[in-house]
Amino acid sequence: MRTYALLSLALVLAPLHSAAAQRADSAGARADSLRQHIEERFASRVQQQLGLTNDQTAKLRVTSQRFGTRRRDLYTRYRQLREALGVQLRPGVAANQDSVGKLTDAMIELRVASAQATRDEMREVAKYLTPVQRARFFAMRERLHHHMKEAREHRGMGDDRGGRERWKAEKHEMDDAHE
Amino acid sequence: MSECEWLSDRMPAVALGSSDWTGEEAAHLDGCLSCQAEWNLIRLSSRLGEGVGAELDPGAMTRAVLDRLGQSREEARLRRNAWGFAALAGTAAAAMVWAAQTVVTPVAPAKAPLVALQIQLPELDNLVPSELDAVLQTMDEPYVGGSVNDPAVASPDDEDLESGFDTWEG
Repeated sequence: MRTYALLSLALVLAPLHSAAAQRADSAGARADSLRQHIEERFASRVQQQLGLTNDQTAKLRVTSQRFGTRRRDLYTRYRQLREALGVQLRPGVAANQDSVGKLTDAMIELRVASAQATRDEMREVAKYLTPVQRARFFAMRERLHHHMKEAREHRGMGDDRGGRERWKAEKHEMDDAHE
Repeated sequence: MSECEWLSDRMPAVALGSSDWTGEEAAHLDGCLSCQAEWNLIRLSSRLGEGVGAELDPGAMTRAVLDRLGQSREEARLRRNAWGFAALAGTAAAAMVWAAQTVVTPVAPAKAPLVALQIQLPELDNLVPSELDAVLQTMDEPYVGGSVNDPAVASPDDEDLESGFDTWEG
């Protein structure tokens, strides 16, 4: 009897799991597509508004690839540290003081490394962009960061509990898609 | 005039057969070695070219000359045709070049293919689709102005300066 009950439960849950996996794949694919759209549109805007020559474009492309990879590594590391710190700082659970101290130091080091990467990138860009082009490029990227921050703040605002729940669901689906 | 000089003057006429030696002249010629040597020279000279005309066949010569003339005319005709064809071809080529230039001239010179810019934005990795969608929507808004008067360039506010750190917040 118990076996039948488990089998029945498995039969009921299997389609649900399959549907969840499909949703996760779909969310991951959509996120990838949107990221690609944003990157393409941003690159197009930069190229157009800065009036880049072919030579400048080729050089900026190389710079972007190199520092993009560097920044991506930093972000990956940051997320790992943040998750580890989150685990340590869970309410009701005693934190390991030593671990928390090391994780915090590592995050501060990471911020310094990020600032250093930005400085190195802007120094390299200065070799082939004019000061005005470089300033515009920097401002455009800062503006994009600002928009990203706004998007996250909109999600994190407490007045939209439904929105926050939706974000959690999306985040969960994307994490599933990446795993 | 000596007898030798007299005989020397008479030699061409005797050699051409228009006169004969007289008895006295023949006697002198027999006894004078100098006159004999001169006479032999004159006689041999007068015979030069003898038989040349006899060996020629006038008919064959005529045919050969006519054939050669005909051949020359044919060669001249072919040369004229060749030059005519070359001139025609040259004219046609020139016309084609001119026509091509006429067609191509209005077209703007081909520009070098535009290099596509790619910018990696790893900051987007942590955003969910709805957030990415919101960012995409805001990108349609005007970005930076056309000059350094743009506030984002000229005087970035605190929010702009801090936004680099903001991206760390997940």
